[in-house]
Amino acid sequence: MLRSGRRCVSAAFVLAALLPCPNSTAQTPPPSSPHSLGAAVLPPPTTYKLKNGLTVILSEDDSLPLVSVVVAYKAGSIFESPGKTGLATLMENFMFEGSADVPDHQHINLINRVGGTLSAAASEERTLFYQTVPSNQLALALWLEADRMRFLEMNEDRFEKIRGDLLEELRQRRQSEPYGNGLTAFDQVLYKDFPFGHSLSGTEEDIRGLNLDDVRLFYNNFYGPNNAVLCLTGDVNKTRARELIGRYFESLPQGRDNSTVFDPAFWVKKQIVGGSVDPLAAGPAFYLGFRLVPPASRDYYTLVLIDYILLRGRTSRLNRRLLGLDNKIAYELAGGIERRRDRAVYKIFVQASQAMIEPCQNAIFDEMEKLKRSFVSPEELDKFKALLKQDYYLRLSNALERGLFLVDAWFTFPSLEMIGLELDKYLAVTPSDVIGIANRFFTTENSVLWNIRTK
Amino acid sequence: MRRIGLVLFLFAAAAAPAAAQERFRKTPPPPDPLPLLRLPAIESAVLPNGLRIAVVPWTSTPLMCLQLILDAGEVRSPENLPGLASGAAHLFLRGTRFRSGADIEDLIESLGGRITLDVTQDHVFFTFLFLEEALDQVLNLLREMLITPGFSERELANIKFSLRYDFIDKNKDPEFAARRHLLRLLFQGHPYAKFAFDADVIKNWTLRDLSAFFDLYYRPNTGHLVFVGDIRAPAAAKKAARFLSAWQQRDVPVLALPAPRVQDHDRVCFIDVPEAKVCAVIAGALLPTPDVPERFTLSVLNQMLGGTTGSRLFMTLRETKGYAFNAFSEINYFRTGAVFLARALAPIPTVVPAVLEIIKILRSMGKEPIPPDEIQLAKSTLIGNFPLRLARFEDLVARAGLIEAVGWGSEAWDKYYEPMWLVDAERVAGAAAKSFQSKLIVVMAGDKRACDERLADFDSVEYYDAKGQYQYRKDRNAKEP
Repeated sequence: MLRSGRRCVSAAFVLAALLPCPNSTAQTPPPSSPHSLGAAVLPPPTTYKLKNGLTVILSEDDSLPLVSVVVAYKAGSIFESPGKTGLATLMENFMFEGSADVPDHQHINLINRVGGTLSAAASEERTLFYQTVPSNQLALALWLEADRMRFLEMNEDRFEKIRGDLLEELRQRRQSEPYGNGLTAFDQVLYKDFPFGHSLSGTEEDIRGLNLDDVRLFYNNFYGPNNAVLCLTGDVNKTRARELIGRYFESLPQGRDNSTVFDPAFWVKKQIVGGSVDPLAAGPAFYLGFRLVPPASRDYYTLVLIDYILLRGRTSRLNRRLLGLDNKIAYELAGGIERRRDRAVYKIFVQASQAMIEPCQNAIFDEMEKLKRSFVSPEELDKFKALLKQDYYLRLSNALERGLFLVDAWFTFPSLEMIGLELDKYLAVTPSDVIGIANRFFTTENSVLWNIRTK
Repeated sequence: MRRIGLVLFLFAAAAAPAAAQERFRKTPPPPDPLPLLRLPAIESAVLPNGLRIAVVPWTSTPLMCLQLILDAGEVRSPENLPGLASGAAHLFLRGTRFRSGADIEDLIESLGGRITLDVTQDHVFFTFLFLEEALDQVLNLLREMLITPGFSERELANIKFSLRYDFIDKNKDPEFAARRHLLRLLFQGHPYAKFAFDADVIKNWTLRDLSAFFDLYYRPNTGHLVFVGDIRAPAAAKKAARFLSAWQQRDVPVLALPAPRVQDHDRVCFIDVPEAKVCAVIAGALLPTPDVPERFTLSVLNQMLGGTTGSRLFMTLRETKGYAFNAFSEINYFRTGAVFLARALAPIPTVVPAVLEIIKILRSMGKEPIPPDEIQLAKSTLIGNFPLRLARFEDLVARAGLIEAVGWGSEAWDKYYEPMWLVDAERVAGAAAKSFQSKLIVVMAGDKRACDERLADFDSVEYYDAKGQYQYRKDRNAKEP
């Protein structure tokens, strides 16, 4: 199987903006809200648990006859052991190879044949599988997901093929994807401990050393119904959905108990400056990170607004300062908040000419200083709140995006009852909050600067 | 013995329900009945200045969208100034007499909005997406942009710089280079060829030319304004009249487009994209303007050939032969005619077999019988997929805008299923014979130094430099140029 090795470097950032905030326990609307804006577009979904521990979320929107089915497992790269990296990604690929009643690759084929689309994504914390199908094909999607949740067919031939594909993909990326190795090195400095700091895609050496037993163990440990959430959004008839979910998932046995607790390595407050050489790079670049140690829930809403002020939209401060039509000093600017469990990092990537690297860095630190010294005007803050609202509504207007949003919320909150009030919390952020959070987190000693040189 | 028998009986009795329960897992479940496609009817109105209003009432989100469509696409650019239509569209967004381009950006973002621009051969589409409570402010901004455009030298210089930089970036992408070059060749000598302009022509645009283009073509009597959101036609027309009635109509030159010239011989071309690590392949054929049944037939044909990862191109080139990373096909519709494109992205060592396989697959479509099951599957897939193509709010807006711009009817909206069911094997075979037995143009784009030796398998290859300038032709067994 051939794979294209091209991937945009900015896609390497996990944009955490508008995902539900971590550690949030205060689920009441802010006292100043006369009514909730978010609740109108996101009524509380129906949630329940099967006897085997599978959590089910149902959220209806019948404006189009389609349904999105998302299955998410708490099975990311943080659960890999030293020497066994790449397992989560390999497992994600294995899930498309066929199960007891679904022949090789037929999952993709069966979904495509009915006009559906599908994809999957492994991250540090979890692995998601999702498809959108015409709503009369809901049974098909559930049948397929249940079959691979319980009856995945694993044999040496399939294992060798997937491992070969993965190694080929890594080789191609190593040869063609600029700035990728720099990002891995940057992450290892940001996240000192193994579970969080190693590369999601694993190393070629580790992947070569994996065997079928490793995959079986990972599957048995993490792919049970009690370690998963199933979310249906769109044109969902709840009675029919419950009936089908019962039929396909109820009899699946509970998996192993996974209550691994990760204690994040303590972040020493000290600036780190480093760098690496990337022969593939089109030009010099740098990654700049601010370690947000660890933000409390209410801080997170403010951090998202700060992300908008700095990077979102065409009028954000860094966009205008670095990419403005009159004074463009960078070729590329990307970034956002990256969250890994209860830790977060604000990451910025800049590519510029050699002569402009230092001015770009100075400009970013200068903008951070402005945030710390001067109140953001109410007009500017309102502008970015309006943009945030647009993004929020846009996301919830699409069945699949709504499903992914709810799944993320389920991993974050103790309950989804008050999920509709999330938007109000962003809108309640004040200029004082912004200046306070900027001073707490965007400090020199919290920063990590990683320079990429071409030679 | 009796005891053992009893145990076995009890075991079997306990296992029987479980086994029966699990039988449903053995085969894919049948679908429920196909749900009705309930889309709101597209409502319409016309303002006294000729602006046509179309409204898609959509109440499930507090967002709204306005799309202004003008008959000011690339085909309207003067012959000596290709790309001028794109320049005018970009400049339109960069200021009014009272606001700079940056001010417009600030205003639109403060309304929770964004503006996107799409210039095609025939039309220009300006799409404003925003929070529904900001409708009046967006219409007011649109009024200001249309009636008091800014057109400053400073903004033009910025646009030229920005577009040139974009081209430098895009020209490194073999897929972009191949597609653009194919369009140039397919429409050689036709006004549509202006669409495939390059960075070199940008310097020729002047404020005077751009302003004249705007004055001539940005007129309400050739325009459409599409509303998507929680609004109905009477209210939309009232609001549009309030803000846009001062936008004056004017005679716009009638466009007399000739039918594109059909190729009289197959052509294989190579365009150099230095340092490209992979090779893009694109094969194309011009098709006459299809009527409604033909359009649905072509959709089915396209679906079978390269609509998805289960179609013939992908299955053969990637899954069976391993010649390409991907392989798909598509049909692009224009005011005059349509273009069928088959495309693949291939590793350099297998680019030639990939090209040969694409040609073989296309040619075989018109010659060999098409299994009815395959037709049926393609139709079901397209029908199932239709609501998914409207799943994002932006998709809904794009589809409604396209219907308005090209004059498609309800068969492209809520009556999509009916004409699709009527497509049969005979019609598909006829469309395939008509489309692929004519001459094809194939363009490969990649690093010439890495690919050159492999191209000797072709009878004749035309070479073009990175800017698309013809260099020479190499015939098999002929001397090196």
